[in-house]
Amino acid sequence: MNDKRREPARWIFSSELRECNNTITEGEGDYKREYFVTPGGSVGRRVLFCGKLMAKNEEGDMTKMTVADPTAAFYVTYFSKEFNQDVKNDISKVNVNDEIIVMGRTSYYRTEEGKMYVNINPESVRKIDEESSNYWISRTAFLLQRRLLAIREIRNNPEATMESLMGRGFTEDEATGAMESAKLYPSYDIQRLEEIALSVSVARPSGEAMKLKDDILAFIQKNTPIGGAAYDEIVREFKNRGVSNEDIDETLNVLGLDGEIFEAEKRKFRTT
Amino acid sequence: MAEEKFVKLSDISGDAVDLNIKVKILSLSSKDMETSKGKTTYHYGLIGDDTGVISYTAWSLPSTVREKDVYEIRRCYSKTYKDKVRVYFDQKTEFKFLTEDMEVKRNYRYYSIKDLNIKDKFVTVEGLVKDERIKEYEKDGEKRKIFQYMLKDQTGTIGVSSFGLQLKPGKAVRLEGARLDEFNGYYRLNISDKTGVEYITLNIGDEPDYVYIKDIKNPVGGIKVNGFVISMGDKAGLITRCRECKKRIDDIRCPDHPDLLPEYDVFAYFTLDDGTDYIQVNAGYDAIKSISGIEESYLKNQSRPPLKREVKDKLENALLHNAIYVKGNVRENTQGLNLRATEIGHIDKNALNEIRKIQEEEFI
Repeated sequence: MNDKRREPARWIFSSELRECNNTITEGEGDYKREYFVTPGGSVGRRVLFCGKLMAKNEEGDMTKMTVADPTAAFYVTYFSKEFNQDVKNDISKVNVNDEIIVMGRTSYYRTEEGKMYVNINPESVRKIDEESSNYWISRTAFLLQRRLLAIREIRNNPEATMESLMGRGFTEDEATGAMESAKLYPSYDIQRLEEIALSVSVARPSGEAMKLKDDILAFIQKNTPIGGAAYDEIVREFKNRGVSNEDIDETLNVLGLDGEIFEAEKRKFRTT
Repeated sequence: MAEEKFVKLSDISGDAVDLNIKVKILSLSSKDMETSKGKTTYHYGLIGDDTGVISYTAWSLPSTVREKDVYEIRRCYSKTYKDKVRVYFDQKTEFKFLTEDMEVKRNYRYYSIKDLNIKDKFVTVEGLVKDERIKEYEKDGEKRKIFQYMLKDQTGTIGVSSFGLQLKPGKAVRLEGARLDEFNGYYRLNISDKTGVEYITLNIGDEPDYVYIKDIKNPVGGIKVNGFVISMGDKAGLITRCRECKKRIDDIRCPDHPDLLPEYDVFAYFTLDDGTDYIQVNAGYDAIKSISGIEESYLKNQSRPPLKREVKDKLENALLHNAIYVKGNVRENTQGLNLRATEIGHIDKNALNEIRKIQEEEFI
């Protein structure tokens, strides 16, 4: 870690952080720092994440929040102190069901059985829009996939070094994380994380797309003569509503994939 | 007596001694150095043959050795430093002048603009020639011209200075052996009569590609990045400038133009994090105007001057913790690299699709 630089915030899914049960320490005395090491090769003590605020409970000087990303939930605990009143102000502005972004420091709690829990002490909390949230999901999945590739490299070649990983295009951060993960989680099945990265990296339908999906489904349900609603009829109706051909085709494909509609005849759709 | 063996430059790959080579001296420069024995001069430059070009350092060099001449050089040695091979001449090295000329295979490394690195001074780059400016100067009583351009590829832009040779704006060009240097915190390319200039066909979009912050290593222009604004500088917000000299005023009046009323301006600096790394961004009013919604009429309204708190709130709402893209020029200053924004916008559906596509392509 470079002391001169600001501690980087790790973009990480909750499910990866929840799998974490190892930390490493650097420095001594007042300068001692404890960093989480996840099985997915993320090393840090500050995180940045987005998700839906599921619960917010105030108990005296403490506020507990649960924030769900597409994979699981983060637990955020804020203790009101003199120096962090701006965070209190941030928290007062967000409500349950808001999509929010949180940046915070991690702290660790270990049970007698050895299970480790990671809590997040927020440094900033703010409501964000859907595009920002989708951007975070997409980038976080991408970063996880890169780190997992580095871990696979080490597992396929136990002689791999920092230099050989960086020679293959991984950053110093990624190489360090992968080496630590390989050391601390030698038998962890990373396929689980690979599946998570893959599943969330597929674009989530936007609120607008969800509404279009409902509207097209309702239209097909309502206008289903024998044989089904003709494609041209659907296009005519929704073009009048200002929807592009591409969006109509994409929505029909999604409805088909979801099993909501089927092609009863060529280019004619019925609901299931 | 066994026949002497001459090695080709492309076959020199690491540390070797007693090398015999047949090369052309492509460039010859000298540098003074203080040693414990006093002041001494050494020479350095490039040598080439029909297989490539290599840098050399001559701790000792006969005074008859000239640029552009061809020599048989015996008993030189090579060393590798930072993955690059260099040939060395010392007192044991012998030079034999040859009257023949030699065709040299130039092998300047090709770089995308964003990957240019000052450690490699002579490079090959390709890009679209833009924004011609012509300056005249006098040397030895003679009027000469410097042609200045911006060269743009899909990854960034860089300033180009050409001494004598005029390029064709709007055309794509390949520059082989252009010299890279750094001026005023920015990289710049220089073209001389030794630079190969070839017009080529290139497909360069109007928009640069997004780059990851981790990949920004050097001060080049025309960079586009995305990320979350994770913190904003305390001093970002409303500032005042002198109407005349445009200098920032920290007091009530400009010390040089105290009679003039100051004018209002907006300035932001913040940290942008894209998950791969972070970078400091500076942005003037032009860059933040559209994203912040701060109109010029608001700044110029003398009947209701702008409020510091109001401007700060507008900036924070527009930037802080939002996903944005930033276009700008990377500059090196005392605190490292920072990005001077020329345009800032929110990540919308189209930008998100573009970013996803770039990410997906990495795993194909």
